Formats: sequence, C-alpha cells, structure tokens
Amino acid sequence: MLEKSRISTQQLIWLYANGLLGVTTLIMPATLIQSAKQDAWISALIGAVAGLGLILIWTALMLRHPRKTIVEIAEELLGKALGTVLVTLPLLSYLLWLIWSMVRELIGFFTINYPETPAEFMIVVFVAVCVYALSGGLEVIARTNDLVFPVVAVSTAALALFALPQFAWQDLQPVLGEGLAPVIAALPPHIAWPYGNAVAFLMVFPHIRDLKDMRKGALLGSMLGSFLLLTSILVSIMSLGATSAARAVYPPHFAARTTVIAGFIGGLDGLMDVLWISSSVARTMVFMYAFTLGLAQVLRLSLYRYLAIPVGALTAIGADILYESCVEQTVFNKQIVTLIAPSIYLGGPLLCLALSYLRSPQGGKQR
Amino acid sequence: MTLALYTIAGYTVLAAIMLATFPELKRQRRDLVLSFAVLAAACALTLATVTGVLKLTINQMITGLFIGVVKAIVNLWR
Repeated sequence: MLEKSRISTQQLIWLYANGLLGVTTLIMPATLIQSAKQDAWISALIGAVAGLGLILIWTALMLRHPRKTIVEIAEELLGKALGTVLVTLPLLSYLLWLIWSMVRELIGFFTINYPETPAEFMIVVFVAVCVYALSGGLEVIARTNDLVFPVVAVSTAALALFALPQFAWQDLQPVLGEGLAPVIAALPPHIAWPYGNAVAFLMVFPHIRDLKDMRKGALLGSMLGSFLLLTSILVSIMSLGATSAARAVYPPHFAARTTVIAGFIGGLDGLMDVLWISSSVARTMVFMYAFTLGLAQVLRLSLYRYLAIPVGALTAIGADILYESCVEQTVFNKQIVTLIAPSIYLGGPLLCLALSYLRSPQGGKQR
Repeated sequence: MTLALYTIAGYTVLAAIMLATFPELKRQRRDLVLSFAVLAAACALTLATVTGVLKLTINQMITGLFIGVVKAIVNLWR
C-alpha cells in the first residue's frame, strides 16, 4: 500500500467539510444567485441533499472494497486496461483540471487585493505550500486542516450572526416567485462543483482509521460544509440583495465588506479573505493528494511522494494557461463541466458498484 | 528564447531538489524515469506556452475535444 498513514473520523469530517468550501464559497453563490435569484438558498438545500446521495453511493462502493482506493477497485473489477481507460484516466484528468481550476480561480481572487503582484508569483507560492504538505502525506494535510477549518467555520458563522441586524429579510421574497424552473436550472453546476468534486475523497476514504465510521464521517462533513455554504449564500442575498449579488463575481467578499458589527467594526473582508484563502489551500492539498496518489498507483511507483514536485510544477503551469478570461471560465464551467462531470463523479463509481454487486452480491462489506 | 532557457534552468533546479529530497530515487530507476516524465510534461507545457506554440487555452482545447467527440458520435448515429 502506497499510503500507510491514517486519519481519524473527526479529521475526515473536517476535511470533507472543507473539501466542499474553499474557493467554492466565494464563487458558487454568484452562480446560484444568477440562475435562481432570491431562491438560490432552495437550490443550495436541494444540492446538499443530492450531495448526501452521492456519499451513500461512494461509501457503498468503498465499504465493499475496504482499504482500496477507486483506482485499485476499478482495476480489480474491470481489469488493468479497461479500469484505467474507463474509470481511472477520466478521474485523474478531471482531478488535474480541477486542481488547475481551483488554483487559478483563487489567484483571480488574489488579484483583487494585490493588483500589482504578478499572478505567476502568487501561483508558485501557493503551489509550493501545497507541495510541501503533499510531501508530508495525508496526516500532515489533515492536521493542517485541523488548524484551518475551525477558524473558517466559526468566523463564517460569527459573521452571519453579527450581520443579522443588517439583514434585509424581504430580499428573500417572493419565495418561488418564478416557480421551480430557475431553482432546478441552477442545480447541475451546484451539484457538480462542491458535491461532485468531492469524488477526490474516493482516494482518501480508505485511509480513515476506523472504516465503519467512513459513511458517518462523510455525511456529517457534508452537512457541516453545506451549512456553511448555505450561510454564505444567505448572507450574500440578504446583505447585497439578489440583483447586486448576481452581478458580483465574489458576493461573500462584498457582503463581508459591507458588514459593520456594533456600528464600528468594519472592513471584515480582509479577515474573511485570509480565512477563505487558508481554506482553499487545505482543499487544494486534498485534491493534489488524490491526484498524486492515483497517478502513483497507476504507474506502480513505490512512493507517491516522488510525484509531489512534478505535479506541483504541472499545476503551476496549468493554472496559468487554463483560460484567458473569467468569462471563458464561467461559460466553460456552465456548459462543458456540467456535462462532463456527472460521468466522472457518478458514472465511474456507479459502474464499479454495479460490477461489484454482480460479482458478489454480499461482497466484502464491512459490518 | 531567454524565457525558454529560464524554463529549462528552473526545471533542472526542481529535478535537483527532487533528487536531494528523495535520494532513494537514484536506485529506483523506474520511479525516477516516471517522475521525471511528469516533470518533462510540465517543462514541455511551459515551453509550448512561452514560445507561443500553444495558441489555445486548456479550456478551449477541452471544449474543442468534447465538441469533436459529440459531433463524431452524432455522425456515427446518423
């Protein structure tokens, strides 16, 4: 086994919750509010339920093949060639694109606060931190997240709580004013982005110390992450109004900027930006870990950490040449990713699960 | 040209860091070759970008590939 370290259930909960946040907290509210307007929170709730459904499918597969990653499971069920072509390669390509995309979007956000610093420099610094943690292994990543996540969670909740008196509750009305259609239309990217992308955890789940807590940990993590995501969406709508929030690229950032606590504590966007960036670092580390471990398993390397620096170098370049403008990225995310992503996060695992049931209906299920 | 040279120099430094960090890589020839192949891919991607060979962004390439595959399937179906 390439990875010998283990993480606790609590670490999985926090990792999973943070895996849904990161840069998604900044970008997802705008995408949702553009489609569903003031009903974006309903889309977020439906998306959260779909996310729980995905976890049930994923963990059903992982529990039937204990201590094996999706790469090993696909190889076992489909054979090396077919497993690699049908499941592993699409998953790894998607993960690599996702890492590039996450780094690039975060750097795009950086440039708001540091307009004169070259994006390339920030990409290299950001990737260097991720590579350093990746060289340390999963335990180091989980412990980094243990430091970051509680602060992010408490601050996000506290910001919403302190901003309560400023909230314009009428901005949430009319509820379902245009029917269910806009709410449903907003769902595909919302399910793909935070919840579908957590497919990277199929490389992390086998390394939880107590396997029987895998499903519980992931479900709790997903609920916690969804709660924080929902909080961000509600704060964005009620602080800025649906129309202004839909126009903003990073609504939670602007909502934090306009929030004043007790009439004299303002300018909270700086603090929240630092927290969102820290959260994104931890999230990127998990995704880089999943990709590196998967690639090492496919290539049959004796240690996945050999790939940390090469993957970091690949990320630094990929993130830089991913797209030319925010518009290109938004169109790509809405039109192409929404079509490709379900085959990765649902198609591959479902195919493996169906084959696993066909081969042995009882399987090696952990009880 | 200068940028290309900087790129090669940068990746040589990265390769040196890799070998210093994982001295056992020198003994495991297969691991060494595969790790350096990934590094070479990063190097090639950089060179293609800085020399202007790569005219499309990654997203544009994926979009083109995706649309091409969909069109091919539709044509086969017809």
